[in-house]
Amino acid sequence: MASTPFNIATAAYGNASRLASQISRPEVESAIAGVAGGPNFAQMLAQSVQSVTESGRAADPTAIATLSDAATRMLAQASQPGAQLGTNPGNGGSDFAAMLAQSVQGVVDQGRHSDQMAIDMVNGKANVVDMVTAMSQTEFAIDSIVTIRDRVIQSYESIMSMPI
Amino acid sequence: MDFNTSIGIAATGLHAQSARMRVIAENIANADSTATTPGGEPYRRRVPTFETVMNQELGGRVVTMGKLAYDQSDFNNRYEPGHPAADAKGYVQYPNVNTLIETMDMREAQRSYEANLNVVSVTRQMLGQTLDILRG
Repeated sequence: MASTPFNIATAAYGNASRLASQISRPEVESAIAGVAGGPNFAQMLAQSVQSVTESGRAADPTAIATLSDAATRMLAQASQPGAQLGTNPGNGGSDFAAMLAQSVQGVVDQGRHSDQMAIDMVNGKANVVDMVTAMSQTEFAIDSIVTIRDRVIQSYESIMSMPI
Repeated sequence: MDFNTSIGIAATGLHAQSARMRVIAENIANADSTATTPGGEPYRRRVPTFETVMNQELGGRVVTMGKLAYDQSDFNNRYEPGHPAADAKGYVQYPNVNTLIETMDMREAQRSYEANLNVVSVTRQMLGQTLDILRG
């Protein structure tokens, strides 16, 4: 599982920072020196783990952006048929878009939730079980909305290619 | 949705079993924790209990870790006159932890965890297969 190394890294970071804060104690210092040739090791480890956490945080906004982007694209695609088939206004077209918007919003919210879980996980606060269930729920929400979108577009295309 | 509910309920089972593992770990780790003064009590084995709770948010009955009970069975006596906790006759009270029993409990926790994981993966499969109909 990809999350386990993060967990270990977080624990290692905690240990390293604790060791680094106790660095004045001679026995700790000598212990570190014996293991890795100097107190710099603890610092190095702490820094590397910090950078992993930072990059995880940095990746998160893009993930959200990707989701929102996908959502707006879906909405644009969904509103297209309604706009072109505008011969019968008020007959379900806008309702369908609203329904889709609602469900896309739900998916985005769920995605944010699981992203938050992943961040908490990296910071060592969340539970593995909670993260995995949140992730799988998001995965299925996205999966189903993508499937429905594909299906809707497929129907639209078959209607458009109908010979009149 | 029912599928999400099942996954949520199975997740509470996972939580309960991991809490049980924590108790077993405590018991095994403290299998040799005696008192340091004569007449003091050693570590007493703890027994996890599970209870059913209605979860309104999930819409199902979930399992949760109940009260941690103490095992009331007798402590083991060992003859160790030199031990700081030895009584007048030279006996030391050791915890009422039997590592073999703990190992069996651990195996049970593992199996139960696996069963709950299976519920999650089968539920996911069912959802995926249903969606596959649309992909046709």
